[in-house]
Amino acid sequence: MIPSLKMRHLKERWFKRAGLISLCFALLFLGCVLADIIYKGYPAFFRTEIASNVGYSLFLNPHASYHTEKPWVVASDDVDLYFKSGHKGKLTPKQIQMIKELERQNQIRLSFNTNFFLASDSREPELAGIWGGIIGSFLTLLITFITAFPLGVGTALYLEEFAPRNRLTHWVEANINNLAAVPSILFGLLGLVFFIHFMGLPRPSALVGGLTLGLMSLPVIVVTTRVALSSVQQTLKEAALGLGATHLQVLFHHVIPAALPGIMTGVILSLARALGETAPLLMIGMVAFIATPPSGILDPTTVLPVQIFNWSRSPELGFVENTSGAILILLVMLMLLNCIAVFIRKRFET
Amino acid sequence: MVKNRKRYRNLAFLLFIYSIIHSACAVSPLRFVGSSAVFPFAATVAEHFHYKTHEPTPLIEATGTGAGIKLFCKDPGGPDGVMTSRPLTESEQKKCQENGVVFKEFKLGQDGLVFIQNNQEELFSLSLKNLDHALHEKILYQEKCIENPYKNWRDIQDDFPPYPIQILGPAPTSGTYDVLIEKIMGSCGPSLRRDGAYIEAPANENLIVQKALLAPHIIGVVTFSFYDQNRNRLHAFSVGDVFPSFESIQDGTYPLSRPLYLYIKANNLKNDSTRLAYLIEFTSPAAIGEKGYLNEKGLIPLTQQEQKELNNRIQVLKKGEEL
Repeated sequence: MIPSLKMRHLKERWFKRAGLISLCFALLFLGCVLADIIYKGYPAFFRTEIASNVGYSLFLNPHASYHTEKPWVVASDDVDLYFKSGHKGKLTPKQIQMIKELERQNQIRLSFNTNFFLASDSREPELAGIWGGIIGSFLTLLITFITAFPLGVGTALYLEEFAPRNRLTHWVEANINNLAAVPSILFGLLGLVFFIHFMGLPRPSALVGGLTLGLMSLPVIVVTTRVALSSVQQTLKEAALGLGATHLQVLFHHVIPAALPGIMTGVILSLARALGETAPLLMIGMVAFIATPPSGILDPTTVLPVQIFNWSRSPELGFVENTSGAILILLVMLMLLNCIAVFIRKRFET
Repeated sequence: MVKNRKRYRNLAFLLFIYSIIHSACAVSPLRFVGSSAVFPFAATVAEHFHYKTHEPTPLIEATGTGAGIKLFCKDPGGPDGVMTSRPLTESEQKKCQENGVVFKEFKLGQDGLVFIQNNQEELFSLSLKNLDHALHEKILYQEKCIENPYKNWRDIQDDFPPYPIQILGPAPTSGTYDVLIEKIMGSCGPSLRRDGAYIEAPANENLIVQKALLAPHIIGVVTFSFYDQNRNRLHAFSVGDVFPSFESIQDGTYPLSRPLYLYIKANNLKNDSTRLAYLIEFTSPAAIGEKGYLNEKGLIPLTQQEQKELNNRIQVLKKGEEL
């Protein structure tokens, strides 16, 4: 028996409402997390500086004595925290009085923290920056792209267009689909055993990190590329074949250009996942303290997410804002990558 | 157009090759592995070392004491040194010798384990026996080992506050855990309780501090530097009537104190001047002395006597007379 029209409309309304509520919940959580990170992280983009002619070495950062020529010097983390948030920390009342005195004489100021973007890791929160992490992430992603893109797309092309349909290929396909869902830390284990113990590659380097992340993104790239390839219309291929093109010509002149937006989107999204990945990199030992940005793929390297992990474990209070600040930068980078993916799809679709 | 594109491709390729060659030729920096308790100090020294000597900044990895020693002893070409929160055991020393690793031991300072709590709560003093009762899986009761029955602090002693025992501490992979086990002797075996009163936190002491701040009845176990950095928000428990302070940890009267060591490879120490220079920076009074920059970071300096002896040894090493 069919319920009355009124009942069915009521059900529809309830369903809509439930959907809206769950959406609101998701947005609320996202909003809370973002607000917390922004609230904690935005002070990291500013830092306290003291005029160098003041001469209270106690208020300056511990490395101030090594470079003395600048007119403004970065203050120590205690002073920085007090000046920004009124958090007294280890400062004595007398020292606080002195800071207030400096403030009256305009010899202490808050300026944009260029160091945060241009310096590398440091044990002093007021001097630490993310440049080394960004360069490391870039080199690592480069290796990931170089290894995973040709291999992944090639595998997908072969499986989709050339491979015979038999038990073996079915088995391989099923395994690739499973691999795409394997937790990333297992790829870290694989990388540790294969690249470091077996091949003996240098340990905290962009090469090993990139290869491990490449292994991780490979199945995802294969799966998305295959989906993109199979969505190309059969009629297009048949028309080209009917006009006398060879299989390879059909593939490279028609199928790949038509599937390219899908392929690129898949590749960029899997690279974005690799960019934010920490677990496999911890497994292969990329958790070292590295204060110089890498100049090659074999140099000791740290990546941005691992640097965030390291900072979050540091005892100094100043690292709390640095951690959130670096998370913000990482989020912006991920958003940029996703925007590029959207842009490419829109561009090629027409 | 096509030509241009080709040129760019060649350029990119050349850059790539260059970066590989460049990185292969670059001087590899010093490498240190080991305890996460010494890690912040070693990394701080590494930075000062870099600014003073313009050598590349040494690479410091927090692998944990045990894993660090394994890497260190594996072969003479491995890490230059290992940071530990306990002396090497005999079997570890043997392993090192078998693999041809010659090393020198340097005691850098002291560290203490501190029981912390949110400073809004009322403080009480713990004895080692109280801690044994609060932490261990089995305890001695009327000459017999029984399952730990204490759920509430008041069960342990009448004047303790009436809330459940919840202690957040290190996990078995860390050196801090070893010290906890070793210093708070269980009368019925060393294993800590597993009924939820002792909660293992993975190697992140900030997390323990955060939890202690948010949940007032949770008591955390952290190393002294973490307590020191959060002094205005936390208070520390006295253990056996001794309050954890710089002085009591330094002279060892605080029962949960431990020494921190740096082991450095003496193979080629004479020829490897950067390794020696790093060691000199680490052991200089400007670093580990009473007012050194590591004191700022929470390292508790050696006693005057020990500092003097250390300085003498470094002087000898500088001259290269004894290795």
